[in-house]
Amino acid sequence: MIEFKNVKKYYKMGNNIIKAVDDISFKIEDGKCTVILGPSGSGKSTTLNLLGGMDTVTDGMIFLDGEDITKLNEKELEDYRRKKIGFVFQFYNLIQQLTVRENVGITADMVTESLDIDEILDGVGLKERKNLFPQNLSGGELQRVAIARALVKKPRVLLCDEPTGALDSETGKLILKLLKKVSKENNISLIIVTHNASLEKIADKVIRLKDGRIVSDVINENPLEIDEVVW
Amino acid sequence: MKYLNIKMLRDMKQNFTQFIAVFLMAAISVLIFSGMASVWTGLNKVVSDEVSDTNMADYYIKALGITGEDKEKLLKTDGIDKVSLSAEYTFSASDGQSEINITTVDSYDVSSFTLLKGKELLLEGQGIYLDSDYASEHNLKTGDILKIDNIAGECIEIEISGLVHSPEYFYFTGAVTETVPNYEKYGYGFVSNQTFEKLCMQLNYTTAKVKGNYISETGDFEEIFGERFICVQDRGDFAQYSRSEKESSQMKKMATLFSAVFILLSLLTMYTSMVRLVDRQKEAIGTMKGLGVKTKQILIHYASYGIFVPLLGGILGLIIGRFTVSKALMKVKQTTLYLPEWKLIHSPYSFVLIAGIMICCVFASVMAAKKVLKGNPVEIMRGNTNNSKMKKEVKETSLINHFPYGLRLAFRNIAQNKIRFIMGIVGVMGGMVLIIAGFGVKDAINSSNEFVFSKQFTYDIKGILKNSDVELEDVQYLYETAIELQTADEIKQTSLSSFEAGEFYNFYDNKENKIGLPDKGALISRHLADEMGITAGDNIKIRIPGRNEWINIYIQNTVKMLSPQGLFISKTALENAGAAFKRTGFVTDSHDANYYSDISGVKNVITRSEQLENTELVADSVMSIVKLLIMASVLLSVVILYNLGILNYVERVREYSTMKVLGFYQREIRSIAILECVITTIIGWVLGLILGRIFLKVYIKIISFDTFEWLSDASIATYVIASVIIIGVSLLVNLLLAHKIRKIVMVEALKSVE
Repeated sequence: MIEFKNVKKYYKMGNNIIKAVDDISFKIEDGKCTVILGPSGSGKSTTLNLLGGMDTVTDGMIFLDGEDITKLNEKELEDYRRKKIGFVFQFYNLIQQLTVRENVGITADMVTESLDIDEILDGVGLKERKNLFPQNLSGGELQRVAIARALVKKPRVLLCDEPTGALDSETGKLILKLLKKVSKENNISLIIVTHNASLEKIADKVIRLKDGRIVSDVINENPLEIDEVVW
Repeated sequence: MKYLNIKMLRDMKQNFTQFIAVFLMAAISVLIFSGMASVWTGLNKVVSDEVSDTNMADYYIKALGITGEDKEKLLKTDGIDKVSLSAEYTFSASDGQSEINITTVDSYDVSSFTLLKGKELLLEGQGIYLDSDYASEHNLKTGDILKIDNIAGECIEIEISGLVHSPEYFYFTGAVTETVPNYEKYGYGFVSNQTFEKLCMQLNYTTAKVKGNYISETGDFEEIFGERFICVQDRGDFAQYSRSEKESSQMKKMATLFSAVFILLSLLTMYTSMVRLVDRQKEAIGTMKGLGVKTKQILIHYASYGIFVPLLGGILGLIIGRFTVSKALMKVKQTTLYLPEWKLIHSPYSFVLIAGIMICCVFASVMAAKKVLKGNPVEIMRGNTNNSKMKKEVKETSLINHFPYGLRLAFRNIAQNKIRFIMGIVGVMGGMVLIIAGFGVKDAINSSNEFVFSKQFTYDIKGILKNSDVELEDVQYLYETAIELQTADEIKQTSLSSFEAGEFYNFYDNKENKIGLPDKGALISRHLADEMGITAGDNIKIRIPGRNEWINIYIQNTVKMLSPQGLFISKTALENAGAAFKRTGFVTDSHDANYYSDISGVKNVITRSEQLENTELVADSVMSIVKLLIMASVLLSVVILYNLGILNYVERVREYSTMKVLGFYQREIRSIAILECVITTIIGWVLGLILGRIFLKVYIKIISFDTFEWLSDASIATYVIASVIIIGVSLLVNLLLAHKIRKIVMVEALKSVE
């Protein structure tokens, strides 16, 4: 279970205080797919960063499996990110000098019980491309590598920041399918941050943000299959 | 352009480290070079001005009893324009503490002097025109009375008419036993013929100072002077003058060779810094191009990156160099050279250097910008202009698959950024080479002095005789004289040292096996032998001053004799060759120095430790330059390594932040980040050790005076110090980078991925 309790994140910019996240509270159940939706500047990426242990709160508490991560020190946050969080970036952020297999392998080496690298590459359909360098892959393939990299260490939570933002609609759908499939298979909580409203239909839960505040927090009883969604 | 200039200033602020590195490298390069160049340019100017103002002689013809008639004959010789006859003798001051070399002339047409204070120069008159440095050391001024013992031992009082300086005394040590000027003990002066006669009881001109473009052929002079002819010397062979040229040339060689490596390193680093700086501006360049800014304007904008920073650095180097390097160097040179005044004059080459640095930086920025500008705006903004040099695929069987990921990453980074890698190696290697050379020169001087004064010479006291018929007990007599040495290819002025049987001079072959003086033939110092292409078994010819014929000498061996450079021959061998052994000095370990200096036939006496001290004083002059070079090398190494480290960091910060987000520990990221630096440092260090040794050998050979061979063996400590400095700096830079990696703000770093 993930829980945000009265979380605030304020930045000081000159003489102004920017309220990136302003007193938000929500809960996410394990193994579910959650979409955090909102326009630019709504605070969705900040929310993701706070949950990913990449940024610190100004106030409030964030729980994962009952542990308040806002109380963790730098070293503990490293362990937290290493063992519990998988991250998929909008622009993939692969290491250009490592091959597909190596990009996944270097992350697998971080944990003692990782998934099998070749199996997971097979799972994301990159078995035949594993010895290529990122520069030789298409956007969809790059994102699949990024997903494989995030999943290989069996994280508790998979955080995806606009995972389809740089992809065409068909490839985007394929990636979403893959994300849902692998997270379900591995009982991983999937959290997708996006400004694309079409994605709300596939989620188990949708949280809408605006100006750093939650405007709605809705459970979707009947999420659609990806192919049913009009992009 | 106004907004582009604002952009430039902001870019400078944003890339402060790289710009400050370029600024510092330009400043240090110019500071070192111009600082030294100002001294030798000033020295050369003062020397050439005084040589011209005093109409200094081009040739010195030595003969006995030169007459007016001889002078007339000389003036009729083709190529001789002016002649002055001179006689000189060294008298003791009446207090017995110092000696004054006094000259009288028949005219001051040739080789006059600079009157610094006092009455107008007169040929007649009773006064003396005294060496101003000697006068200042003895608190004497014009109008004071100088008391000198004449040849008969009577005290003669002479009024000081003026204080002077002569270019013929730029490097005046007073006695052959002394190696550095000592104003307290030795001075010089000029008097009229009448005053000279009062002192010497007679007047015999022994030198004809000649002005003209006469080509040195002794045949003509032998015809004029017959048996009275001794030798002819041109100005370059006149040690009291030529030392100034040699010092200037040594300083020039030291600074130029060192600066060349130094500047090359700076230029390479500045070049790559500028290229990488512009390369990171792809987005801005693409945007500008997309907005319609003309290519020419964009190029001018980036060219301006390479103009202002190096220019300001160069100007600062020029200013600081004058107040630090120049002043320090000049102060040291003042202890070994007598000049009427010391001037610092900016060398035109310093300005050429600044221009060169600017051209290099402008060229680098413009070329980098041109390369980026090749694509269309969208491609440029996406950063697609540089097609990656990575290969497409790695085979399953590839050896690299067995390496840890960190190492694979480092190797591929290196393969992808060869220039960056080579620059890193060159930076480390260059730093090593410069530091080894700097400390190596210190080692060379110390080990050479150690060899000369503890292995070559084992006497306690060396004395110079007034007359060759003095009889002393328990001494080894020497005959030391200047000679002309002739091979099939050339004639060179050098020295001959001949010895009676004794154990105070030791000779070693190249493997440092001790060898004795043979009864037949001579030994030759290896430095001179190399210079003249003489080897063991050769026959050469020598001519001793005062004798017209050439004497054949067989070279038995070349010896590791560092100083003096010349021929070494036993008394027996010299006499067998047909020359007379005339005692000019002695060495001994009996009695103390005072005992011998009190003997009337002994002119002066010096102990081995005093000789060593004098040599060390000369060495200090060289060391002062070396210290500056060492300081600059260390500073340059710090700047280069820090700059390279920072550039690597800036270019890979996204990679590090991604790793951080993915959950890599600090130490894992740090080890990946420094692995490339470690590889670079190790390769640069090993190459630096090898090249440093080679460079030192070449450097020592070039900067050595032809009268003293310096050994080029750097001590282990030098290699250790250079390694500690370079590896230490490299580690320090890595620590700083590790700190930076720790401080990476992941969220910020991952923004604006495009």
